[in-house]
Amino acid sequence: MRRGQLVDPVAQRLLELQKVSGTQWLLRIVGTAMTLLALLMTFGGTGLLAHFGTTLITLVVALGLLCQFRNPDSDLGLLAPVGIVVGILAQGEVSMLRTAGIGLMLLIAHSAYALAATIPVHGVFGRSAWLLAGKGLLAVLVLSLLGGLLVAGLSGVQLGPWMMVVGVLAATGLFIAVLPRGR
Amino acid sequence: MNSGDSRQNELRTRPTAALVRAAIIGGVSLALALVLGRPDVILVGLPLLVWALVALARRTLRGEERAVVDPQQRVNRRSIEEGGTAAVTVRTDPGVLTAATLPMPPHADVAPRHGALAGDGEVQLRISAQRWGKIRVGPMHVLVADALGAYRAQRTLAPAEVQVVPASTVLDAPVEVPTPIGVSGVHLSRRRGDGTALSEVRAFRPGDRLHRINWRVTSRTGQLHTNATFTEQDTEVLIVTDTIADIAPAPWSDAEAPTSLDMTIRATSAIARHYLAAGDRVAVFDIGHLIGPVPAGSGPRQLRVLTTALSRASRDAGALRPARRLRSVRSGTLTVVCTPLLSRDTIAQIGVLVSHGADVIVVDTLPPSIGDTSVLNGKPLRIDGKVSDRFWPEAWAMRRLLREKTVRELREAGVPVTAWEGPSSLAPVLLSLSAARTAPRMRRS
Repeated sequence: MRRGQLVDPVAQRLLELQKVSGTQWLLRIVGTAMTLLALLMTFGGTGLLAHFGTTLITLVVALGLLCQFRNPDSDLGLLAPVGIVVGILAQGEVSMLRTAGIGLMLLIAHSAYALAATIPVHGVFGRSAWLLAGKGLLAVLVLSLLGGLLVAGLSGVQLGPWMMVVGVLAATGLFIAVLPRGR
Repeated sequence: MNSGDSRQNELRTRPTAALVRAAIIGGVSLALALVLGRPDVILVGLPLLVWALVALARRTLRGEERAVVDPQQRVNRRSIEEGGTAAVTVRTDPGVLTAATLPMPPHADVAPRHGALAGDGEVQLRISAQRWGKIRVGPMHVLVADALGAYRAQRTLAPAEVQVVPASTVLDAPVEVPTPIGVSGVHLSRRRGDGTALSEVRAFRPGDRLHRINWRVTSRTGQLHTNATFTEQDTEVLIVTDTIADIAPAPWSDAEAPTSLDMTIRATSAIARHYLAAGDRVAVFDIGHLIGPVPAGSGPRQLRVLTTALSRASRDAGALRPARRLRSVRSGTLTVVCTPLLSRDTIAQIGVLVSHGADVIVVDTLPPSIGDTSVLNGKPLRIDGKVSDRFWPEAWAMRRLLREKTVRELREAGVPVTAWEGPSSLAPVLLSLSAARTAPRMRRS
């Protein structure tokens, strides 16, 4: 194979990268960085490759991130947060503050990828678009904070086993209400 | 429009993959927390669940479940000058994230750079035209979403057209013409009559106007003398444009370098503006029939008619148009032929014009980089990093040499040929034509 044939497609791809807008780079990098931070907060710096289970979860999260970095609208973007939730479940008792921090990181990453999916790869966000997205995210943050405080407050209350039935029913109802229909 | 059509045109938003992700993660973490009795797990999925709930509540409260406002596109200027800017605005509703994407039109710059911008309910993209002609703006792709990106819908809007008028360069040339053929105007004719330019002081004759009596000479000579003047006339200027082919500049020249058609149209526009400003009648005959004929007229209205005709012209790269012939022209008409001098039909047409007694000037609109091999310095031409085997520069260099022969023959036939190099291109030719008018002539038997 001639060298020119090898180099040109690579150079072409690098040139294509120049078309990616600053907005897209920012949103995708924020999304990836926040997910990685959530993963680090889940396992700690040295725990990522501590044993087979954590290595597998780390690889699954990395794969999900790679897919989502290429295409923010990808359904495979589900892999990264699922991997982190499984990691927390596998760890036993984790402090509320740590899980709240992980939840916050996942929210920011999720919002960044959701916004990145609304514009093409060369698209830019105007000032008004940033303000609109910021206002929407602020409302989510405030309500999440209130919800988190409520969960922290109620976690100390001992309820009877019958509450399990009510709780699961409430969670199922909420899930059905939120789950999108007719995509 | 009936209700069925309006329902079809309604823009309904649909859930995105992000909403599915948020609902699944939030719901699963909540269910697992309840089943396993781990309240800490709720906090991981709670923000995503709240994100989905806020998006759902926002959509319900704003009534976006049924439909969102259909995006409306508006172009602020349908006609701009070369280098001018038109703005395309897409409007939906405040609180709706509106992202508009425009395909890059040829010979135009779009701001933002790649033609895609998102805003709150309104987006404005600017298009700066680099070349004259029609610009097709669109079809524009519009995506509307909620503030969080949980629901979205898309629509493609019909393309709009913007006409780009050739740049209004002011010709730096005298307004004199060799043979004025009108009745009244600004050009000094060789005929004596009513005017302002003094021709001679002569003895008074019956019929002379009393207010033209030169009292100083009369008192000195003791005989009535009067001031004789030259009449002032307008003329008809015919601009013949050669749009048979569009010759692109050489590959090594600047990306913004004009093509032969660009130069032809710019020269036509500048010459027409120059003579219309002087009060002459200007007509355009297009050999290639790209812009169509423009009948003779004068004044600002004619300028508008002409610039509109020029801006309506569309380019079809590489296409050769059949030549049309101008059968007759009034003797003495100043005829400016704007041509790259490559077509035999055009050269034959110049011969016909000269034989009809028109004062013909040829404005050469072949891009200067064509046939100029000096930039290569003996090296082969490289296109996209590969050596070209098409001998493109050599072929054009030979064609330019052949064309030099045509130029020489035209000059020998008394037709001045001047290269179009901007507003000052015509000045020396027009001055030499005016000088030739007053020069002694050989009597033809």
